[in-house]
Amino acid sequence: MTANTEGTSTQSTGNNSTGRRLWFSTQWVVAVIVLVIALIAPLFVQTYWLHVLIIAYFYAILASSWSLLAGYAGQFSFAHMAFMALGAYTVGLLGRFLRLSTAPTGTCAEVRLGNLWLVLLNAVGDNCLEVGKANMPVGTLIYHPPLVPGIILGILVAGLAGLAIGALVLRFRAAYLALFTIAFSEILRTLIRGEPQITRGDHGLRVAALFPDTISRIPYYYTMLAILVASLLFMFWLARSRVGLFLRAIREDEEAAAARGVDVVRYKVMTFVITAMLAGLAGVFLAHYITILSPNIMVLPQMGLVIAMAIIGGVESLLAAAIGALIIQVSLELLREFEAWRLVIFGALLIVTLRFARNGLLAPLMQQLAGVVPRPESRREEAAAEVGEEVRV
Amino acid sequence: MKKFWNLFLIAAMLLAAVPVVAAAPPPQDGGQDYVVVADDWLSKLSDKFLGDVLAYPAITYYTNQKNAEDDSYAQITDSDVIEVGWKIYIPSSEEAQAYFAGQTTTAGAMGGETIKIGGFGPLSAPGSYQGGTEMRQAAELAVDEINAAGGVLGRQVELIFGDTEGLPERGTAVTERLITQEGVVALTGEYHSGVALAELEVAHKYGIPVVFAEPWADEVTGSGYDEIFRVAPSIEFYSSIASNYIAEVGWDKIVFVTEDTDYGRLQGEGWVEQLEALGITDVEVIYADPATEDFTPILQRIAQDPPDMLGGVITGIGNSRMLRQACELGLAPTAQTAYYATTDSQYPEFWETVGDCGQYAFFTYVGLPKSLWNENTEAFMATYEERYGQVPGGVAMEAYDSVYVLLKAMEQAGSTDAQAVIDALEDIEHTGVLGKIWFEYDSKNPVPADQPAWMWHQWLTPNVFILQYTEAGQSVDEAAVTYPAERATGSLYTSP
Amino acid sequence: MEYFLSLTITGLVMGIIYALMALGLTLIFSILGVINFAHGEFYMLGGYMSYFILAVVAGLNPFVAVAVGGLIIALIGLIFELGFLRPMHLGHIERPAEYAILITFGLSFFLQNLALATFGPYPHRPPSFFEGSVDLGIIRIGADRLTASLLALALLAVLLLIINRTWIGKALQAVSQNKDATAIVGINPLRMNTLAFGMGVGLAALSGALLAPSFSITPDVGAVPSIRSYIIIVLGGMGSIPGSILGGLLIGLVESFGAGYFPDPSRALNYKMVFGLVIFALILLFRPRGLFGRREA
Repeated sequence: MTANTEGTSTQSTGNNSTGRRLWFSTQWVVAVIVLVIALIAPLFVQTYWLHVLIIAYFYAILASSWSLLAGYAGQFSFAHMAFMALGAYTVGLLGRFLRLSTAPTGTCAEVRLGNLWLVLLNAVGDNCLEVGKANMPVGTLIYHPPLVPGIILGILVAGLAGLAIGALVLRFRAAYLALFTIAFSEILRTLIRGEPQITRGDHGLRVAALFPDTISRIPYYYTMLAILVASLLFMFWLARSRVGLFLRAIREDEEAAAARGVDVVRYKVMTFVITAMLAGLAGVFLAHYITILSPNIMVLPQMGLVIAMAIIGGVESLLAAAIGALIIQVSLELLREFEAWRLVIFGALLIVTLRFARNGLLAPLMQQLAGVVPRPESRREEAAAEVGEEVRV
Repeated sequence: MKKFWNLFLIAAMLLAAVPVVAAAPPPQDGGQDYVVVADDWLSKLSDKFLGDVLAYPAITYYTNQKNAEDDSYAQITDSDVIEVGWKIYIPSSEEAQAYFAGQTTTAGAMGGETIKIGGFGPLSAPGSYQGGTEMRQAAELAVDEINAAGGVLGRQVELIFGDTEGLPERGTAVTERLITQEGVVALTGEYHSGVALAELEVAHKYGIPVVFAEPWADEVTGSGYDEIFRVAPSIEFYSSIASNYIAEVGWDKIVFVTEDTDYGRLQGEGWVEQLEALGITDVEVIYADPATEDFTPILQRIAQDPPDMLGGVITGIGNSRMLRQACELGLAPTAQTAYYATTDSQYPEFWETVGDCGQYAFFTYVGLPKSLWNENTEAFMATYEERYGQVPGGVAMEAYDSVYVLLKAMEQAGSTDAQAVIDALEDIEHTGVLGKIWFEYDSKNPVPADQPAWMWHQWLTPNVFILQYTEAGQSVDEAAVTYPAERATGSLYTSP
Repeated sequence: MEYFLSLTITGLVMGIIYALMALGLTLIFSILGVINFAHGEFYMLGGYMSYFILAVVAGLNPFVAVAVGGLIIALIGLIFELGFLRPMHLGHIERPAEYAILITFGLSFFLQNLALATFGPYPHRPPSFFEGSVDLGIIRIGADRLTASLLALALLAVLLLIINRTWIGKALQAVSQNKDATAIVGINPLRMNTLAFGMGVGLAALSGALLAPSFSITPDVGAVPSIRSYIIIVLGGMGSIPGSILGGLLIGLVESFGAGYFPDPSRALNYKMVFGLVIFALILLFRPRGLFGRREA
């Protein structure tokens, strides 16, 4: 049995392993440079640009996690923004309908937690809390639950949805997968819009700020950056691990991978769940940052924007997708005076990139710096052989 | 070939990187003294030291501050004129930011040349860009007129208008940008209620006064915030005109098809309540996506049991579509069923889309019909049409008057300091194109307990009328004013 | 009963037009194996094209404008296919299935924003074919809408004729059944692809042009018809022509009856969209070949 060293490719079929090592090192160098710039940016950038960058990091998390799902696992899903919205609306709804109280209301649905009661408000009719207040002892404290459980729940809800969708689309070919995920996204959006008594629909759902005591954006900036970095590191690790290897094999040739003993079902679903949770994570922090949610965060053109970012950056490189998102978001802001033409340019760029530069625009640039040129034809064999080595008992 | 592509891509990426780098101003560790040399302009210096060519008012301001304490610093009376050898003070970027954020407590910041005010509204979809554009145009007209007459406090006014796209989250971002980056001292405008509610929180956070021109949600002024004033009617007031009209005409059975947005729901629910209070209980509200193309099936359903009045409360293109389809079905406007449209019916495209179907439709109009114009209104109508080639609607009038109210208050306050402006707004009386505007309930005269909260800082007599098109192709001025009776020019309701 | 019949007529009138557009989509899928995610945008462009032709050439017969508009858009589609889809079939593109999805989705993104930037967000409306409405006894239908529906019916008939009776039609059928065999008999599948794409988007453009006087056009007017077309072809069976026609009529009826009979009228219109999507999702899960589609190879 060949001992499997975690992460790095063990032996190689050809001379590509050196190239790949160089490619990885280049990515690290680029990543560190960008990170350093990002860390010191608040010192010399105005408040409004901090906002632009925070949103850019948000998109970067989405673009890179989408590229993990699409580029690595080969699943071109259009449900990514829906998972993001699920995370965001979960924390929003929890904030809207849950309270902690030192005394029971008697009018709302509630459950006792030690010395406190967890109270669930009602969506329809008179506010049961207001009604109950009349009978509650003086000095009763009623307050919002802490944010952390909500955040965790938001991510889990997104993950569960990812599990459901991932399992359902297992047998689907690319076109059906796309259509089904579009349908899911639109159904969710219509439901959110259509039930404003619960979600506040277009009116906007207010969410507690993550840092309520400050008007400065800086804590949000570093938080979003930290999440982006953590997500990227996690995804890097995942991509370099066995899981990443199997995913690449599945992407290249599903039947061959299955024949070699790779549990295709498990890994495809796992990727869906993981990327959905990452999207949910982004959504959760978006909610606590912009503090007001509307169903517009998940319209199809937004999904299109994330896809464009991932593709223009480079759909098979997580880092390129993330940086692509940063550059595009900043450029969109800089080109604000062109209004609608901005998106026309990006649409054209997307089409041209797809046609002529399948690996995106950034990824080849970074590879140029490393002096590495990937050989597409050999990837399949390489992946298959690596899998063979891994799985052989 | 591939190499060429790669080179091209690298070049493209580098080119893209240039604006990114250019956007970030150089690091700055503290304010410094500087002696002017030949060919220096304040704007060039501001670009060099603060990374922003428009930040020069901060230099002027701080230099004059220093000058007040220390004669060795120059006094800059005109930012365009600085002389070689002058010692000036270049603030650090924090100080410059603080100046623009209005955090400095020195009243009447004397340094800056122009007074910046912010405007916000929808200029693109999914917002109602037609209304937003009209507001911006009217506001710009007002600012230009005021500037031509000498400006405010001896300074020129600059209006910076941000596109909120009709989205609350954009509204928040735009307001933050206007206040913290552009350094506006006051805000005006906005069309959508939901967006206004998000914006006023930001304004309240920074203490910046806002005169809202068009959003109707009760909670806008109902927020009770010191900074918030409104010229437009509240939804309760607006809806009551239609409700009272319906009761007056004597219709019993009402169906509303309204858009499922925050505005539509507030309206729908509001009407049900008001009509019930007036004794009309057979009221049905149906919600529809405003982007719906085909209302025919739901109209057929309504036609099964035709109501006395059908209300099509869909803004934008839906307004015309629904009326047309109701008309094609033979449902409304007919002798049996009257048709109540939205204020979008006031625009000329209405007739292009609905054709003769628009005859006998009526709608609520916020603004001043021709019969009630004062001389300000006439002048405004003429100037606006000449400049923009369009006839302004009620929204334009509101935006125009809002700017005048705001800047007049600033003039009366003698400063751009937020609290001074707020105090002046509370006392203001301005006869605009819409009539005499003042804010009845304020910090000195609070809203009585038996009155609704939205009356705070609210103009209580906005012009809200029911207009009916008695002939096809009529303009808003030709339409009959049917309600309230005191102002009516035609009969209460003309039936087909 | 009368109500039921009137809803049926409303549903069928719209259903025919839906079928025409869906037929275009299914044709593209059947010949090229690609789902055209930009189908709605071609619908939108057809509407704008007809509007501008009529605005520029005053007094032109509106039907001519519709036809010319459709033709121009078909040509644009042809060019796009040549530049961006043909390489797929020549083996130049890795993972062609995903490429096709992304490139047509990208085209949709591009065209929608191009329309927004060029034409502005304000709605436009070409002049009516005929004014007023037509009284059919149980129901009155707008004249423009009825005209659009009858023309769509005629176009469907012509198309069916072309596909079943002409050489080109049979060649198209052959390609949809077996590309390699077709090539062997000397028909150039690449040319058929280009033709099919042009025809397919041309049909979408014609639908848009026909409905423009009834509903007006905005840059995002294609979004809903796009999704509706996906639902129809999945329902009818991707690649099946009778399927798309039947599917179109069915969806027209579903929309009509849904709004007409849904118990809670205040929600009826909104949930119309959800019904369609839920049916769509269920079909994808349980009977992906729809009504008439072939079993997946």
